[in-house]
Amino acid sequence: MIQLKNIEKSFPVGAGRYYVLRRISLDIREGDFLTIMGPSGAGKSTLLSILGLLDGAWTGEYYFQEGPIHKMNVKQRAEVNKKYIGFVFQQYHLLDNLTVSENLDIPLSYRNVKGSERQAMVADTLDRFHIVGKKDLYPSQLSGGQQQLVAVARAVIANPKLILADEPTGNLHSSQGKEIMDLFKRLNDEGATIVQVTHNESWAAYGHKIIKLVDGWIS
Amino acid sequence: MATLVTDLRYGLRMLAKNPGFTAVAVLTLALGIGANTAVFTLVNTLMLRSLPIEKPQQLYFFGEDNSGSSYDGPFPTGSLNEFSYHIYKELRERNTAFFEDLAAFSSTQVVLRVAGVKTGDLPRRVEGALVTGNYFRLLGVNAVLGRTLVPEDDREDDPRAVAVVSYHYWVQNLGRDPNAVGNALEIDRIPFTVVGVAPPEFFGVKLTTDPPNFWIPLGWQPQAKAEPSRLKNLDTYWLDVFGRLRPGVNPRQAQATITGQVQQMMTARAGSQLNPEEKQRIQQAYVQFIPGARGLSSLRERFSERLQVLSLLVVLVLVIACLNAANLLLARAASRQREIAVRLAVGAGRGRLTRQLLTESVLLAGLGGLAGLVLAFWGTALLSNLVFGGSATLPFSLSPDARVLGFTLLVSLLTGIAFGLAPALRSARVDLNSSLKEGGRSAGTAAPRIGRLASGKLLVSAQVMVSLGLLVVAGLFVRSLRNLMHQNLGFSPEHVLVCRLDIAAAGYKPDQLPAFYERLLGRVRALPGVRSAAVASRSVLGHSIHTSNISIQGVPSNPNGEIDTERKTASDAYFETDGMVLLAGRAITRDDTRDSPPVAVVDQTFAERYFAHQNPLGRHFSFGSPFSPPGMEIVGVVADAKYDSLSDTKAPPMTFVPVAQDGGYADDLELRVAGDPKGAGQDVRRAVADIDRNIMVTSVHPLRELVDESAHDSRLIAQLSSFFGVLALLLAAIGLYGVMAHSVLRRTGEIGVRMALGARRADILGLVLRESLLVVAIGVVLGLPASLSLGRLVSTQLFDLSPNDPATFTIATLLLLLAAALAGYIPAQRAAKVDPMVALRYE
Repeated sequence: MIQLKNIEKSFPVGAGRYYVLRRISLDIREGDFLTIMGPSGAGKSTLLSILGLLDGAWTGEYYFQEGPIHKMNVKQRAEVNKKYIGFVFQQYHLLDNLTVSENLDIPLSYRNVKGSERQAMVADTLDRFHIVGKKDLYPSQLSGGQQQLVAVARAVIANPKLILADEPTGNLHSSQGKEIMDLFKRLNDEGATIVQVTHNESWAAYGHKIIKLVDGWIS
Repeated sequence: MATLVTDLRYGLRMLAKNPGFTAVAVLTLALGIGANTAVFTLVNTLMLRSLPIEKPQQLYFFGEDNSGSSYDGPFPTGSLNEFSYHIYKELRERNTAFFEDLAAFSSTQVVLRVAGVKTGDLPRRVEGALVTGNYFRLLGVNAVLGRTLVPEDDREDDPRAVAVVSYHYWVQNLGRDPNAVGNALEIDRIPFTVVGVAPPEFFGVKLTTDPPNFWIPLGWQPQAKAEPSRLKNLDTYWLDVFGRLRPGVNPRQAQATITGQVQQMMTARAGSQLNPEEKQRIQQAYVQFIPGARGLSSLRERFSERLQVLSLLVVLVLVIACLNAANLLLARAASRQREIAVRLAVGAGRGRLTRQLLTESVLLAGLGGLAGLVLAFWGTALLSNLVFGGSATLPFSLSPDARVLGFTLLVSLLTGIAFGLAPALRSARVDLNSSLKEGGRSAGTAAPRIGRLASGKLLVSAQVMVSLGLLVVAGLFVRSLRNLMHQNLGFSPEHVLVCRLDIAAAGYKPDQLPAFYERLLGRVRALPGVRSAAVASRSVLGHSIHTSNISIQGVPSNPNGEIDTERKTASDAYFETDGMVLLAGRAITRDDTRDSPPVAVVDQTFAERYFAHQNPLGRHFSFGSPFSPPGMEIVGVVADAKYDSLSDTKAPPMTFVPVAQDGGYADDLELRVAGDPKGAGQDVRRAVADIDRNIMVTSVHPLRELVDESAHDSRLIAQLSSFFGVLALLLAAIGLYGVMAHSVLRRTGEIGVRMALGARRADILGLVLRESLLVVAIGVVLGLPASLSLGRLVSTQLFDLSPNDPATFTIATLLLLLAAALAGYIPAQRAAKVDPMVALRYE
């Protein structure tokens, strides 16, 4: 599904450059559940951003579904992101001024899904994640675990093939974290490809494969 | 569409969640949009709106509105604005191929004495119009009650005593009485039958601040004007003529034909006595067609410059409001960085996001527009009161129509895009990675943060630039007004009371006048506190200018230009009462009677223009051409004065003729009193009533009030520009305060470090103040050339003041710097009070 070849990301520092990622080459197959681990500053989140096409300033080759992302312009990359990718963040990043159902509706609205269809999809997702009772609440009225649950629901509502999760349980206590990880497992079992960043060995074990990053290199 | 609804719904919610931001932004925009709407309402009413008549685009006037002037003589020349009754009739008969019909009305309104409707009501002076019988039929205006005038009403020698009253008059004076039609209305002691009431929106075809209250047939001219019939006089040009052009007729062709016909009629009138000069005058006479859809109006010309200045001022205010709103949006964008980043991360395109943010700013502008409409509703009434000087009846309705609403909608939309576009584009360029990583606590990287702050300062500099322009314009108008009010008027307005009498309406004939004036002056001079009194055809600033050609004995007629003078009649003690300075010879005295040799006093301009380097005293001249002996002897020269308006830059040649020798009516009674002139008003009314109860005192004003009224236009512009200037200053100061406060908050850590490293509070204060002043200084540097251009734009409206007046520029700049210092001082002081330990923990 994804093939990275010699991906590098760097910043100019004085006369030289500071490398965040070095020669990253990686294959991710459809249905994989990959975990990226490593100490702080190793480049985990940056790699996830590159995979999710949120970051476009890198060098190397990136193939997604056999299409060369590195040859695409910003608009084409945004289209790929919209079509295939869902994101889950450590800080949930729900929109404070929108209710739970409106937060779920947002990705659909940006994908030009018709209003009636959107309503049905939001209702389905609320039901699937058992949060129907919370649909009219605002994020501030939910616990951390509930917020992350909504964030995951928002990430999957448009049926992405790839779910990228940046320390999804980082702000949750263990039982809430387990709930979320069980959810990812279920989604993976249903066919979604998942790439997660975590510091937690137990959550890493949910995946099929672990890669470790140290100072921008895959160790 | 669904997306737009979603965006609107979300936008509304965002605005509701930030009531402080919303209130400030909406109020700022409402001020800008409201001011523009109010001014546009006036522009629309005065400049754009069509007359409420049938097919207004077919209407053409023959010549312009010449403010109710008339011409006596066989050879008017140049653009003809008035026509004799004879020419009107001929043109009407000859041009049925071009026009469906022609109609006419007297260019000057008649002011008639209308008896009270109820018993005990006093008679009132009421403005009315003399119109041809086909006037209403040609316009396609029907009465709301009864009927309008018809051609049969206007028989040349035997007009019917019928009147159509205006809707306004019917409401105010006839109490909306449906039975008013058919009742008698006593106009100048003649019982007229009210045959109809005009529609409410119809005020005649001429826009004036005193629209007619009634229309009567033209045939009543001799009675209404208390003068010989003009209908049979071939040499009096007194009618405004208009016509309804037939569809498909080329107006240029009709205009050329009618010019030829009028020249032909003038030549025929002159017969064989035509000399080359007169021939040339006739050849130079022409008729100019003026499209009549919007009515005939000298008001339009008179107010167009004022409205242009007003439009300029309010557009500048709107620019400042936009800049302020943009600054507010930029500041708010900082707190929305995370939201934008999340939206981008879940699939929003940058274009889509920009559209959403623009929808929000347009929504904000829409709310500003709605609030602006409310402000404009009040503002229009206030402005019209200021602009039109509180006229009792305006010849138009100031209620907003579809065009005004469309204008507000368009301005709101453009405003929303103008102030929202830059912040929207900037917000959509958010650095996703870092925004999401920072968890929304403080979004974006350092670079955009600095950029945003710099953008904010740039916007404040732009505000300062525009504000300086407004302040300079305001300063120029204020100083111009000061010059106007402190100039040498040529008379002394303090302690002088001007009373206007209506002697003709009381039935006095010219031969009775000298005795009447004698009695009147004798009576009022005996009143307690009265130091002197005089009568004159018009007081100074009396707005009645009578210009006559003159011939000077021993001086050949000037082939290059006319020798003329304005003239007034005055009694003895006139110059003394008005405080005018006699430069040579003597003033008019009681000895200048009908039986004594004719004399005149002239002003300095007259003496210098026609007797340069010669002594004018003892010289003779006569009105008209050629010189008719013995003429009038010049017995005195007075200093020039302002005869018409304070803003007259050069006095015209003026002749003062003794009232006893002129034989005309001298309706203005002037008194110089010891104390407050207002107090003498009642005594004068009583004194006049003692002499003859039929003489109405139509107005009583201290001369100072008339002087102030003459400066009305200049004062209005000075007041409005000052108001907008102060508003601009306030908005710029708020903008600067916002940006500097934001800057200080963001730099709390840096300030803490500086203080930890040894910076004193004064250093921090200076640091922040320097930054504020730099922002303002950039604005001032950019604003000075722009203000110079603005000054030149309004230079024609300035009195005795250069548009580059250094004092104005200095004061405006200092005011801005002072406002900047104040706006910058509060955040600077807050910065200086930062506790280094707290500040270092802040980040």
